[in-house]
Amino acid sequence: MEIKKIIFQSSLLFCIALVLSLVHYKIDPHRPLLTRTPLLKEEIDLKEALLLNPLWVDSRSDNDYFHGHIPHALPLNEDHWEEQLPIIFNAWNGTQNIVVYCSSQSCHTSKVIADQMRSAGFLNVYVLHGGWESWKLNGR
Amino acid sequence: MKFKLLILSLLTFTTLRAELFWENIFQNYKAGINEPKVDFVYKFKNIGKTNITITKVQPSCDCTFAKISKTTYKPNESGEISVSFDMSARTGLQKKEIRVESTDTKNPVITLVFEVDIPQPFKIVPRLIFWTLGEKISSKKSVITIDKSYDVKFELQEASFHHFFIRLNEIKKDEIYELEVKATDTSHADSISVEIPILIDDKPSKPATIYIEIKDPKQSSSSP
Repeated sequence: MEIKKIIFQSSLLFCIALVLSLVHYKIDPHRPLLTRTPLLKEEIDLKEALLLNPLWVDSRSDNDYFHGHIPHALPLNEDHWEEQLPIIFNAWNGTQNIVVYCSSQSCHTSKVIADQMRSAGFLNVYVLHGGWESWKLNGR
Repeated sequence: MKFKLLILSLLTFTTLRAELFWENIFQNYKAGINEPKVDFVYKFKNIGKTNITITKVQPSCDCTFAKISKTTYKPNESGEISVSFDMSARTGLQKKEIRVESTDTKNPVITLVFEVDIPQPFKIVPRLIFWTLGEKISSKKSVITIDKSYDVKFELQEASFHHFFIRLNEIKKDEIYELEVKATDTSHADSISVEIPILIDDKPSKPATIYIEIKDPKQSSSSP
């Protein structure tokens, strides 16, 4: 009888702990993704991007850029678009692939900047799937 | 007994929840030409039974500044977050977010959103025109589209530079222009930026800049 009670209480505690952890996972904004999100149009993953030897464009804020960025990446964000655009244009050789990134998979800035770059006249512009987070996760 | 206490404490935890009520988490604004900034105020009230602390207020870009006067709010106490958006270098529809983290047990993270429609009296596509070294001498074009609600005038007809010649052609009166750029020699790398003076509704506005270049495809930025 005592053993049955212990098993019941243990199972109940386990269920409570499971429910609480599921609730926490649901509300935690920094939760890890359980599944890999599919590549969107114009997106490229890190492995493919590295093969292209691209011109890297960092679309995060200047503050984030100065705290760390992909080596040789150039900053280009909406805040300083007019000043940074000619620098990128000058660094680009006209044929090189361009890969734009922002902080993570959830950020939208890289897609906006990539669209604006295409409209400005750049060719072969891609967005890095997973952004800066994927660079760091791959131990770079 | 211990088990009953555990269940009781769990129940107490769930009933003593802390919660913020936000008046308007989405706001929008239609800006005028050359307006430098716009301010928004997001009001909230602690409708829970315990104190709530705002732990982080994080705008999505450097263009947005958010300020909160204090961080901890008692039950029934109201507060606000003041937001200022710098529009100076922007055009078109701008959507920005401010992420607010707090000890609100129901919504620990709230995203405040605002949209600002900044007028774009004209659009130039593309703004970068280039040839590669040795490419056949030719003309390339940019199309300038005018928003009909504005009276836009370009103070440029044609201009010559060392390796380039440019001319502005009106395609559809007061609506569409074509900027024709001709490279007169592509055997040397060269780059210029051309500023086109503009009048909007008879007032001088920021000039439009076009970048023109003869590029060397062998030039490459370093790989990581």
